[in-house]
Amino acid sequence: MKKILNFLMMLLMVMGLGMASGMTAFQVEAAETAETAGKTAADASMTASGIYDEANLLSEDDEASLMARLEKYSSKYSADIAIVTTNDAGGMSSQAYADAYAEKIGQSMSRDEYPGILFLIDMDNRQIYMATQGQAINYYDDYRINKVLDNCYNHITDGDYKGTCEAFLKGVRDYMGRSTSKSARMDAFGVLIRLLIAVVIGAVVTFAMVFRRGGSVTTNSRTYFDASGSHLDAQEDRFMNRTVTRRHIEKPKSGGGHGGSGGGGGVHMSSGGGTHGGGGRSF
Amino acid sequence: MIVNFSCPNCGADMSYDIKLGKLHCDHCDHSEDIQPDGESYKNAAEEPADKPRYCVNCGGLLSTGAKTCATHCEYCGAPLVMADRLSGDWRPAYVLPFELDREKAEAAFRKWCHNGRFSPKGFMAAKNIQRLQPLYIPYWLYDIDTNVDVRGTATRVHVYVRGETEYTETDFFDVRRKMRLEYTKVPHDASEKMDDTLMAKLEPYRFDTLRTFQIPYLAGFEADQGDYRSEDLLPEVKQQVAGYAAEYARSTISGYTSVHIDHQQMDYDHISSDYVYLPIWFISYRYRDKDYIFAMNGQTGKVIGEPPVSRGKVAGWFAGISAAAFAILMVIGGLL
Repeated sequence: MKKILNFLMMLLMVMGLGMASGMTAFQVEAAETAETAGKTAADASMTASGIYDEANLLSEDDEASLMARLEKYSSKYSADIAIVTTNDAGGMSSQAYADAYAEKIGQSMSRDEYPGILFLIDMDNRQIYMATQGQAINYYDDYRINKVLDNCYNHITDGDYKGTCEAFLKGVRDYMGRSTSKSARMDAFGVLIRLLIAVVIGAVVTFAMVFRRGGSVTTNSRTYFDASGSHLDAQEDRFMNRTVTRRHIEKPKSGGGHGGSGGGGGVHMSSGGGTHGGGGRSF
Repeated sequence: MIVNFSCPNCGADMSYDIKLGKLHCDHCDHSEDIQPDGESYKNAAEEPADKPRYCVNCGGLLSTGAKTCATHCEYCGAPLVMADRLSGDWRPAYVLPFELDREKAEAAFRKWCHNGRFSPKGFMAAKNIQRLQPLYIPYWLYDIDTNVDVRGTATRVHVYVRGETEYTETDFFDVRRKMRLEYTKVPHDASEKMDDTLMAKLEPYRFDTLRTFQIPYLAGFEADQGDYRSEDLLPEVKQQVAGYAAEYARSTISGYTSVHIDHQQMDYDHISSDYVYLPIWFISYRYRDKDYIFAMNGQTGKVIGEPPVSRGKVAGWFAGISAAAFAILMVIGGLL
């Protein structure tokens, strides 16, 4: 009985959690639909989406074809997408330069605003860097950023700047607007696994509820024992002999410790006060 | 001799009231202490043992079995006790009166079958639960004294390390225990139809409330005469006691790493036994060609038996719980 109660309590808690997560998802959606208002006014010549090829790495044709895809994704995902190249980071790190550039062109600086993403090819620091702003911070976790940078890196090491930018745009297409949580990436396999777990839970719980031991013997050798009339007549514990065996033991080898280091980006504040996510890679 | 007990106050039938521990008249609420065989208020009819029996109260022809000692008249419902079958060799020495009444037994029954959550249709019907009966089961209680003599070899192992060498010292001892052990009131049911292993699971009873048997104790209950005599069951009980005694004797050989018993001798003396009635609440139910039994110790409330389970209902619960779990997993999927 108690077990069943405990289970029901757990069920209620789990349901509560489920509802809470559903609510947050709903709020996120609401925030997304109410996007447009917050765009920061910026330099008239600069728009939050576009290609700023200051290092002249791309030909006119390259730029035109990239721009077409960039605009397509920008309108499809209601996102600011920028590609920036530079020969002079002005002494800044790639991250600082990318963050500053994103702010300069007016990508959103608040985490719950519409998504902005900026891809920087920094020839000065010899790094590629991806800066995420607004909602994009939520769509691009370290795993996804690394995945995109992996693809870009394969091209940049060959000096293929167009291919690098295309790999970035592919990363926009693959992840923009898609929650990193697993429910959003639910596929048939996920459903099957859940079904399986549910059936196991059902079987275990039902079994626990139905199962009833038919009673067991609870009497033992002491139940009917009457100590008052019982007594010891003889008790002997006579030592007979002793044997000794010897065994040589190996000294245990002292083991060495091991260390590890974890890394990862996460969210940081730029000098301008905006919130950015992102990650980079040297080439 | 068939006996029933009439209320001295109003003349209605009296039966034993578990809460009061007295004979009670449901009609006028009068109660009477248990007297030796209820002489002053009994209402008896002499019948030759081989003749058909008639209810003392209404005269109806009774169709009870040859060993029935206590029952109800199937026509007028009067509690009847067959006093002639409770005499001579089958005169019980003691009775352990019920301590748990119908209300408590029904509550235990409902709890036992999960309030009918998985029960077949009709199992929880009031009509079915009404079949739950208080039974007095005939038992023999044995007092057995044993003399146990065990001898064996014991070892005590001591392991220690000096430098890079591990020493294992094994000391050998000859051990012997000779003791007299008394076992009192070891019960064994004397009924053929009751399953011995089930009855053993209903133990233990507390025998401190045993009462000297009087016929009025059975008024309102069902009881049969025992099928086995004391000597029929003695070998089985001796074997049981031998197990207890051997275990006890061995448990006193302590402080050793290992004990090996080489020789064990056991004999018994001062064996005596008493014929008694012990109380249980009982119901059996036939479902899908299988008999299901609920039995509860009428004194301690210990319950044994497995309830019948409807496959359809179990399947329903399984499907429902699985579906609920699946729905929850789909909703919280994002958090996993």
